[in-house]
Amino acid sequence: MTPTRIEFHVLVALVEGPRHGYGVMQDVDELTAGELRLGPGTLYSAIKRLQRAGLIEECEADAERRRCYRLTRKGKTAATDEARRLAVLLREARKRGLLPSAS
Amino acid sequence: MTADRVYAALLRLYPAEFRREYSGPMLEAFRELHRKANDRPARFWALVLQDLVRSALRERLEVWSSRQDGFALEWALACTAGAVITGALGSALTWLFAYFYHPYLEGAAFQAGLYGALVGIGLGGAQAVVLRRRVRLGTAWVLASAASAAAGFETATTLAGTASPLTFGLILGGFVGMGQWLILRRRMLRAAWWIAASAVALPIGVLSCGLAMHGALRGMNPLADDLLAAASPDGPARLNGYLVDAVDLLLRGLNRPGSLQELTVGLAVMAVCGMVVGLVTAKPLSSMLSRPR
Repeated sequence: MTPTRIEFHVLVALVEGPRHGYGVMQDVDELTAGELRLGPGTLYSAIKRLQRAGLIEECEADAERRRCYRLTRKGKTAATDEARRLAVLLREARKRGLLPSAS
Repeated sequence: MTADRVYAALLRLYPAEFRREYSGPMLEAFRELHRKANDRPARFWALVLQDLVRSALRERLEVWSSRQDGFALEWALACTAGAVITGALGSALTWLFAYFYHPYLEGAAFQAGLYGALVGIGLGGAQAVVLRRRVRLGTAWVLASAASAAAGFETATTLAGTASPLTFGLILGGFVGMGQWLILRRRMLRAAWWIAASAVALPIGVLSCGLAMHGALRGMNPLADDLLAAASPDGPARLNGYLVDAVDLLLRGLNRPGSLQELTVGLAVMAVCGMVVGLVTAKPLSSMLSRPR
């Protein structure tokens, strides 16, 4: 499964460890500097699809008994693959002058 | 607290299965968001409502398409096959009747009710093949279809005949719907909707037949004019002429086909009618199947 933009953001938010829903929303907000604001509906719709695809799984609730999610091994591979794909695309965009050179 | 209640009520927009799994954590996330966004209520609610409507629509569509795709196609194909088989059987019976005709049979006729029973057996039998994988109906479905279609054909022919094609479809559809409802009501909730669905589907089927036959067959084969009565002048009168022809052709199962072409046109009419009826009734039936008793 190739994750969509929102699903990829959720996967990236979970790379550093398990998080509850609101934690994922906050992390995505920070990662995108407020450009992508997930509401509960969009977030849990993406979580449902990622769970079904076996890319994330539910883990033990936190101290406030909120439901948490973490990446599975398959999820980490999918996130890495997508990141690589985007890196290649980014490099190509730089080469073609769409973005300023990284150096 | 009020905002929580409003959001909890709005969560009903999501499909039940999604709600069961995620409404708790969604409400928690909403509370956190709400707590941090007190200074900008309008912006907050705009984001929440936009998110809710968009994601609920997506979830509903996903559920609908996963339920519909296979079933709608199977159901429409079953109705088409059932109607064609019925047409073929009707023509075979009338041909046999004519082949073995003896003066002793003088005055005997193939009654509308008998043809209706044949329609019920053919259509109901094909439908039962699809339904049996989802609900236990047994032979009761076929018997109820046969009995109600027999009564429906008799009544519709007597009261409406070919002069009032939409009324013909409405009466026939209503009768068949009621007969099949007797079986469905024991196995699923809100089965009464099936009567309405059936009563609406038949006139639409007749309408489609009339338009399809005149539009397609006349264009493809000028000889089809022999079978399709000359079109009425124009406007509503012309449309009514098409519909009258459609009912006339549907009832051709009562007569021995005079030629291979007549048989082909008769079967094509049955196929179009069966397919349209199947497509119109697939959605209401699918909804009912998702609410077993």
